[in-house]
Amino acid sequence: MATREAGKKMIMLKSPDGMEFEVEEAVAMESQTIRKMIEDDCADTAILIPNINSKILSRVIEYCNKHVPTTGATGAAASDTVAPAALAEDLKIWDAEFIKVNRATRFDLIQAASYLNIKGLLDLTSQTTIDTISDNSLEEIRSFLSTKNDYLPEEEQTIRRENQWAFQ
Amino acid sequence: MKCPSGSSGGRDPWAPPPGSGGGGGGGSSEPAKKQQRTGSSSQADEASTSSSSSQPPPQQPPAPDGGDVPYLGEDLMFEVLRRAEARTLASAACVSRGWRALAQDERLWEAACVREWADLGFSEQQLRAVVLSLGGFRRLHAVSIRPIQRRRAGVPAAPAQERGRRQQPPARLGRDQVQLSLSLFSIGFFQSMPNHPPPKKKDEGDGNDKGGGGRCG
Repeated sequence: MATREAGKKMIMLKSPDGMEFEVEEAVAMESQTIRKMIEDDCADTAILIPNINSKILSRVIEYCNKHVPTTGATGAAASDTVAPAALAEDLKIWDAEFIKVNRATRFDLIQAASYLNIKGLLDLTSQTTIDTISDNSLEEIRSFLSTKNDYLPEEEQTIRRENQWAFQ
Repeated sequence: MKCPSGSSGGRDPWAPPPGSGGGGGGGSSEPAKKQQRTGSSSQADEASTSSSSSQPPPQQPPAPDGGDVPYLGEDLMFEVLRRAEARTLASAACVSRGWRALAQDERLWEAACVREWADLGFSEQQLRAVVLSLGGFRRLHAVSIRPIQRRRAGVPAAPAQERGRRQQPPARLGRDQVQLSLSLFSIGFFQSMPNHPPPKKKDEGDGNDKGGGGRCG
């Protein structure tokens, strides 16, 4: 918790497309995957993050920066005076903005959050996705998921009847 | 570094009830759709054999045919669906065969059921053991949660006032209602057992059935 003002340890994260991101160790350790690498000492100062391109990785770092405990990225030391509840509210609003991305980016973020094991981000991205699914009609869900209806007509009738209650 | 796969939530590898579970009663007419699951994992090799155009790709799992949209894969779709309400699981099953296979996973229904209960009163392990042996969570929801919720909600009408179907979050059940749900569920199970004990047992052999009446079948 105690952030040392001076000697913050920095970690270099590398995306497979060659970009490098220097982040505070505490921020990087929002990812349990990276935390484990650091704690197991299998990370020097640079960690290659496979499968996550720089565009997504930078979003992920943005998220971690915002969510790292202690005097976060919000305007300097101001957070000392802000009540925790207000801070949480602020985070929620920030999250809602953060996740306003297109579907492809959101799915990429889900993958990244899962791989990096960032619970908050996985919750956020998955919950938003499931909200989208539950808010939409069947046809909209199919198009959202890029899935084709492969039921035979009578088959679909049966399954629709079975699950009729979900559409009432 | 096994974090990514091993860590995604408390996903226990307990197996959903094989055959016997879902067959407990009416709710689940479940033909063998199992090949669908294997089909989705082997999506790579379908691309290679595009020469034989005689057979159109008949059943696609949640598929990567959406241009630049990444294919989440079953694991991550599962992760997403873990947050789904029962209602959403039910509608997801209507999306496609692949989704149906995914959305019938007992673990998802367990999560959905438990979320709708405010207070369980006992451990989830206990619950799981009991429910799985009695037919599974999907059935539990159909048999004893949904009716109670419907009754509580009172007016079944007016779902169309808002666009979303989510506008009316399922009422959470208190402890008594949970107990009641589970009791009804287990009673229902035993009543529908193929060889459930007939109401009269053979103990009339004792000869002390003076009344002798009471035998109505």
